[in-house]
Amino acid sequence: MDSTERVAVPLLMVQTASVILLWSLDTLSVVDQKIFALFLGADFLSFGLMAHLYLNMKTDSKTSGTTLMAWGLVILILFVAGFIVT
Amino acid sequence: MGQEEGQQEHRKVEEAEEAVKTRMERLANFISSRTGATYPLFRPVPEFSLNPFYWLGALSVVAFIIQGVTGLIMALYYIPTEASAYTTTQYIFKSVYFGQFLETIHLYTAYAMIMLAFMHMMRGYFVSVHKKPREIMWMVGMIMGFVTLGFGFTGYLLPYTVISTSASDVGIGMMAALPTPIANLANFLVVGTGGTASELLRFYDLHVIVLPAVLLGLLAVKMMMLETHGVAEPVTGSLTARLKKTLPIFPDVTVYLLELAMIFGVGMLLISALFPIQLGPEYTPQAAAAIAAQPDWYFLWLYQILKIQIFETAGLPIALTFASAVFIVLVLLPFIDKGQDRRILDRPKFVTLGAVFIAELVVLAAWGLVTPGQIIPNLTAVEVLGGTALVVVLAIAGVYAAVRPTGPMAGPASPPSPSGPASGPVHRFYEGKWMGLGMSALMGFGALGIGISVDSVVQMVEFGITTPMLVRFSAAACLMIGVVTFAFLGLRWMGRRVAGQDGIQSNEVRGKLGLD
Repeated sequence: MDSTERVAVPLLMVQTASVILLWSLDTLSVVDQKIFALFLGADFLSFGLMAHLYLNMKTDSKTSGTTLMAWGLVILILFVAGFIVT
Repeated sequence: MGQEEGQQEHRKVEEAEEAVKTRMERLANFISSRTGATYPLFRPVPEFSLNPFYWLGALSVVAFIIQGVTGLIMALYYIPTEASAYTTTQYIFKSVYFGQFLETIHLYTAYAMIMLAFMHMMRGYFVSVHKKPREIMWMVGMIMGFVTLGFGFTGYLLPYTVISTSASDVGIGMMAALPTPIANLANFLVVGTGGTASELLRFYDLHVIVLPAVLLGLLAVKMMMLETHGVAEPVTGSLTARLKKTLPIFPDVTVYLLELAMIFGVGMLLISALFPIQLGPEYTPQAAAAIAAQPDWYFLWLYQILKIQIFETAGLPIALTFASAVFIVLVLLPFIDKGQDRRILDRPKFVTLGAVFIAELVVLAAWGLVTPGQIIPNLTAVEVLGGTALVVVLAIAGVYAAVRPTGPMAGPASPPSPSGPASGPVHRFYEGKWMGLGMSALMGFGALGIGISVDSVVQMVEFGITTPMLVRFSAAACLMIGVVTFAFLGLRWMGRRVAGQDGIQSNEVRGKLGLD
């Protein structure tokens, strides 16, 4: 398993978790709409990061550690914010 | 024998390549081989274009798709009649699952679509994508931009709130001032029999059927031309062999677009969650009489032009003709800006015009936002709009003064580098990257001085000469003279430094700079 795939596994887990949470929401409440946006945002960003890593791999570009950390941190913030609002 | 060995060698290389492929690549290959997605329907894309600025138009299409999906869901509940438009919109807000969220995302992606389309256009303008052989592509893109604004205009009326209906009525009223054949066509398309019910239904049909169909048709035409001409190469800098390498549309470029779309989607989601829109009060003639009709931000520039005293009544056709002329000039730009130069530094006139255009739009929109319903005196309009143009022109003149072509002055041109720009003079900053900014700031102060001086003279002509006004005028004049002197001396000093470093041989240039 190469380094890209090692990052992809937790990202897939994030996406799975966010999809499960998204399906469990009471969609009539305004607060829940915020939670929905936060979890879906985390989901999108995980997918975006996977795409970024894949493309860097294909173009022989390196993904800097800072980019990876910053991107991961934003995903984490969205997820945590989603739980806090919940 | 030798041929068999060659085949075996080839097979071994293929097996070795297969072995190093990652799981993700194998997954991509599986999808592409089974779905035929890698069939060369679209030409490969050069690697240099994997830059968000090249994908502003594509992001605009992403916004359009989001609007299509959210709009489709809302269309399940919305009824475009005078009696039901507001109540069904209210129902979507309050009773439909995620209704408020849908409405918010639909509106914000519409804003994003307009903004992205505008940025796409202006980027194209500054990097000269409208030049040969992409003239028709540019024209089609401009019409697509017009259709995008049409979405905004027709969608604004649909909630049937007091503000949206009043603003749409103003827009419909303006159509009467257009030349008769255009006014008749616009009336047929938008107004119909003249009743509110007819208007609502026509706006709805245009919004959900006619305009999407036209936009998709134009998009198909534009994509066909993009296939023919490819992505325009960058106008500055040099391309390395790696950046010239092309990537297939699937999976590489598709993955890149998905990455951008996801980031865009997150932005839209978070903004919609943090700032959900509220439905305004319902339209009634009494409520409409009590408010100043104001359009959405993307039409505020036009709204503000129409509020200028001279255009208020009899001048309305002139204002509309002027706005139409700007649009026609933009459509016909490839046949106006016909020069071969594509680089920004080689096109000072058009770059300045573009910058003035953006600045005037921003100033008009901001001004319209803070002065709803107020008539703007002619003199104030001249001062503000003229001052804005002056500041921008002088600021850009500062940048162009700080950057000069050294090719003609530096003697015989050196042979072009294989990886360098194809042609054109070499440009140099007089003093590093901050010089341009410094000159811009200086010229901005100069323009401020000119603006205040002109304003002071106007005030003195109108209200008589007073001591405070004389002091103001003198201070502004001193500021202006000081800045011009400082800029002149500074440029001359810098010019001498650079000329000394370059070892200029031309006696004429040396004489002008006082080097002998």
